[in-house]
Amino acid sequence: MPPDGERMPPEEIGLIRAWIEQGALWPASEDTADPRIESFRAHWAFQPLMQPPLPTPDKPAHANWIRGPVDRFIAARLQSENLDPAVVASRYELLRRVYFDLTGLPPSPDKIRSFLSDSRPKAFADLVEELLGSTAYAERWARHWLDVVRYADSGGFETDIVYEQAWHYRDYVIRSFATNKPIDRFLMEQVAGDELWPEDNDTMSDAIAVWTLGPWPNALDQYPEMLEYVRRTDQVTTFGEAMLGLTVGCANCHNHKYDPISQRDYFGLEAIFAASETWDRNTNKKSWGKGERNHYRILKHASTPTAIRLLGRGELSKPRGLIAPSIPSFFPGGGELPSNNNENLHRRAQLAKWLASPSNPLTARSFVNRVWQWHFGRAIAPTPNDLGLKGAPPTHSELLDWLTYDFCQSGWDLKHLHRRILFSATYQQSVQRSQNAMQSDPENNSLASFPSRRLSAEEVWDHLHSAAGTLELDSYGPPFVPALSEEELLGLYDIEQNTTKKWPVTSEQNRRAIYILNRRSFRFPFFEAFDPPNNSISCPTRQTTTVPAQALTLLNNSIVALQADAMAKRLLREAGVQESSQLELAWLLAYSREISDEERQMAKEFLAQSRTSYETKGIDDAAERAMADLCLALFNTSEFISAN
Amino acid sequence: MLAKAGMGIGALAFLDLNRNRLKSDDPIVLGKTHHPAKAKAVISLFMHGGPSQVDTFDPKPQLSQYAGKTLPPSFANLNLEFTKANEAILLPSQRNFRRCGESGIEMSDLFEHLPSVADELAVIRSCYHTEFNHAPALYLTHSGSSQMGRPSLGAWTTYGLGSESEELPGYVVMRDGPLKSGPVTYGNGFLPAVHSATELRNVGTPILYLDPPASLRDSNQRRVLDFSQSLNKRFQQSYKHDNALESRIAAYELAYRMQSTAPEAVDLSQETQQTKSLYGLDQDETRSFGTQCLNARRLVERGVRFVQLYHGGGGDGWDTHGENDAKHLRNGKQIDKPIAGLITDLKARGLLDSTLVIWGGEFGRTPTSEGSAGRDHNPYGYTVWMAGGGIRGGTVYGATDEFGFRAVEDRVQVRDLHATILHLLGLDHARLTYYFQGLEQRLTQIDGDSRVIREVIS
Repeated sequence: MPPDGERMPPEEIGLIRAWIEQGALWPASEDTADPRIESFRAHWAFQPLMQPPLPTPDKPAHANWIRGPVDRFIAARLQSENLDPAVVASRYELLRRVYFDLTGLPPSPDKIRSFLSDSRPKAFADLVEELLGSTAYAERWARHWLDVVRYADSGGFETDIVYEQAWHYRDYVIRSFATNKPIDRFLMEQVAGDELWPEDNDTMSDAIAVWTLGPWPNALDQYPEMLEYVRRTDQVTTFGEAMLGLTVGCANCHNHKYDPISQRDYFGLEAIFAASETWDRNTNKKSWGKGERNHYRILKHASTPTAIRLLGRGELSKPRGLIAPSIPSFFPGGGELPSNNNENLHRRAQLAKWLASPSNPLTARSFVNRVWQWHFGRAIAPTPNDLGLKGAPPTHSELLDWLTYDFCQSGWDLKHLHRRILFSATYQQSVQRSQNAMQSDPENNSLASFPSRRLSAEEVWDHLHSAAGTLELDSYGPPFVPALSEEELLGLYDIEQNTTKKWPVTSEQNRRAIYILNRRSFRFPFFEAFDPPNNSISCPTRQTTTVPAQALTLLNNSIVALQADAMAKRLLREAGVQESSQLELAWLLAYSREISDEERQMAKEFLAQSRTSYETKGIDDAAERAMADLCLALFNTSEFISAN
Repeated sequence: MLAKAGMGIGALAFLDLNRNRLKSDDPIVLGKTHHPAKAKAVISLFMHGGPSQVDTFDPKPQLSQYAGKTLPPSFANLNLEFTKANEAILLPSQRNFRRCGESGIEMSDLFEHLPSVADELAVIRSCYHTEFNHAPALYLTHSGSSQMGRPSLGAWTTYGLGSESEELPGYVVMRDGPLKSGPVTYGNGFLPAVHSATELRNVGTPILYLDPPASLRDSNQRRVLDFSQSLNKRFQQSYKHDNALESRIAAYELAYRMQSTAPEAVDLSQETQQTKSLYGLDQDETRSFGTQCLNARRLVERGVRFVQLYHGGGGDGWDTHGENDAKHLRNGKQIDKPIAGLITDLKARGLLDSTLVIWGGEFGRTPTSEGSAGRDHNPYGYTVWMAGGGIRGGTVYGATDEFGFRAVEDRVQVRDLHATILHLLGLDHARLTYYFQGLEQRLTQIDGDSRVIREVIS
């Protein structure tokens, strides 16, 4: 009790008593052991990696369905929940699904025909190998990773300067997927390629560019200490979420409320990044000059690394003790980095080696969990940037461990992991759900069917151009800039009110969406309605909402109208004079399947009405205009933007 | 069939429930208040660039005796964008202040019409933060965080309450030019896209992609839409489990209706000449912002939840690094009559009680000079006022120091303003949460205290 003054009210005394009885857990300061250590040690994601035994479900409906190890885990859960797996998807569905999944593009009409007539047992396996070998595969899968590392071509905030190095990083990611680079090597290169493999300087400087393209308020550069702090915060936060699957950034201001990351651990990671600085190669300066619109940012070793202090509440004005470069101490191999003469030049290398070491189970778990999400739309542990204690628990934890162990055994071979998943009966299920499954498992946690998937913003763009026959498959290189109307440009701020400098339209217009200029302060308007990734913060999962703006974009955007027009011309050019064969081609291009009799009848009636209406108005090319209307209608259907 | 009338955007979001939840307890719209609401809708009048408090609502007559002098050394540690707080000299306001209304709230002579509604205002003179550059300050005042990409107040509001409009989006933005910090400023961040802002535009159609492009002028859109909807319905019949298919059919019908309802909502030919001149639509200086304000009233009448207006986009706006006084005179003239007209009109129509009106910028300006006649950014003390929807009119709250530089009395953080606004809407800022990045995120952030400013609430 305080020696004088008012007594504490009884209810407050009661609260303190209750707290003591519950164990008196005290948020650990930077110097005391965390009392939650036992719950951390028991957490699933921090367990050493072991290969669980394969379950053997015994009911015939489940046992006979199994094709590979993945299915054993899925079937075991289905059996325990009294659910049956869905029927197998049709060949058409499977083809469209695997095409969009692996390449982000629909199958061509020729491909549909040849696959449908290929009755060999290994037809699907051959198809998968063909797709995995394509550049389109690398582009599609690179886009997934770019979401996670908050990729963009500009710095955001008021200056929003273009980062000329950004697309080199984007191309580095595409090349890494194209060559099936082992994922441990891929991650290590990004963290410390310059330190670990200096002989391969060109590639490695592209790889580490991931740390040079964050959203940073460059106008702050008259206060370099603040700007450097913003950069390091972005770097450590992104590193934690993207590579470890942990919300390390939460420990910037206080010890992590749920996970074993102390504020000391957080600043230990900052101290690792503090040995490197971001310079502009164009001006050979660290700072931003007024009026500069472009930078070529590079990561360099600092001649004298900034000394990192723990900051009270994460505020620069509250410096505490010095913090040595270190890896979060809870984890095997954690603690302060060994210090020696040239340790400044190897801090990130130490981090990279720890990241990919066999004693660290988080990295591979996190990556495999993401790969599952990129195939099925939802991860096994559904919050892939947060595998910590507050994250959503895995729906199939043993499956995740089995796949992760298998992945590490394979040498972190991504394509091996793809095959494990794609050749499973689980992946090849229909999206149709049984009444029973809908009632007892409305969210489909047990995967009693393949989850429906709406195309992403980039896939919608690619599909439109692909169906129209306008898609230019030129890979790699600087971003291209589609033409925008005055109305679309209204949101673009430029200090000189010169929008063409910030949105310099290129002659290239029809390349894949991954190559469109990706600014932070002005995002491409076509994408806005289709849940594009947040490009300022690591984006673990694309949302799929349904909003009227999607309808307005697909009905009224002039680029969509152009593609409808091009597709109509293509149908008339490629499918001969027979309306029926034109419609058959249209359905193959839009839906990757054959047209039904009823649909053909509906389409013919629509075309006749539309043609008559144009003819009545005395408009030329009535047949072509009517066909363009039909194509526009197809673009505006659920099936067009679905990859079931 | 759900596609029939009565499909508001909030309802669409509910249909979408199973699509995107990471955790089973994450709804897309909370759709209910935590306590009885005083306000149903918000009109936020944002002065882009940062208006000067000492030239508008925070009189500092003492400044004239310090003219040409520097500040005391205790100000030296304040970071500014272009000037040094310990070197810049004090610049008194050229404006005259007078007491207005029965409450005697002081306003400068920048405002000729606003004094007529002075007794509706609660002026908070003690707002502060530490972001002295535009973009971080804009992000902070909108989203509670100086980082890019967090959900804005309007998005949190529709997340909390849903929309009351069947035909219009719940969160609407109007501006006279682009913001320095880009459209992401008023974005939905990690909240679902149903909470994104819809921009009502002053050029072309009111909503982007609202009308078909010129190339489709002769196409019969209804026929196209009927055909795609008939295919959609067939597809939906085959995949009955997929809720998104049903909501997409409804979304298309809603989009189609918006093609007529959105232009109708901003069709000012339905307003009387008297109303138009109340907002200053008959004068060149006031027409632009007056149109925004009148549209705001029309949107609120139609059930729109959150209307965000910007004045000063595109050019220098309120960012008066030079010619501070002349530019404030220009800007003041442009907003004075429209805002007074808005409050008068809302009151006459019985809407002011349920509509919260907010005025402010991303920061204030220094009482010291930049160059000979400019003022630099100043986040350390600035003014925000509110009116209507549960506000105790005729109130002055908080104070800056004798120079008008730093908030010193009853200091108000951005998160306090946000907590107060949510409180008036019936929402508890601590319970309005959304799971992202490992945390139940909230507008007021989780690492500090926020306070509802009860002193300004009636």
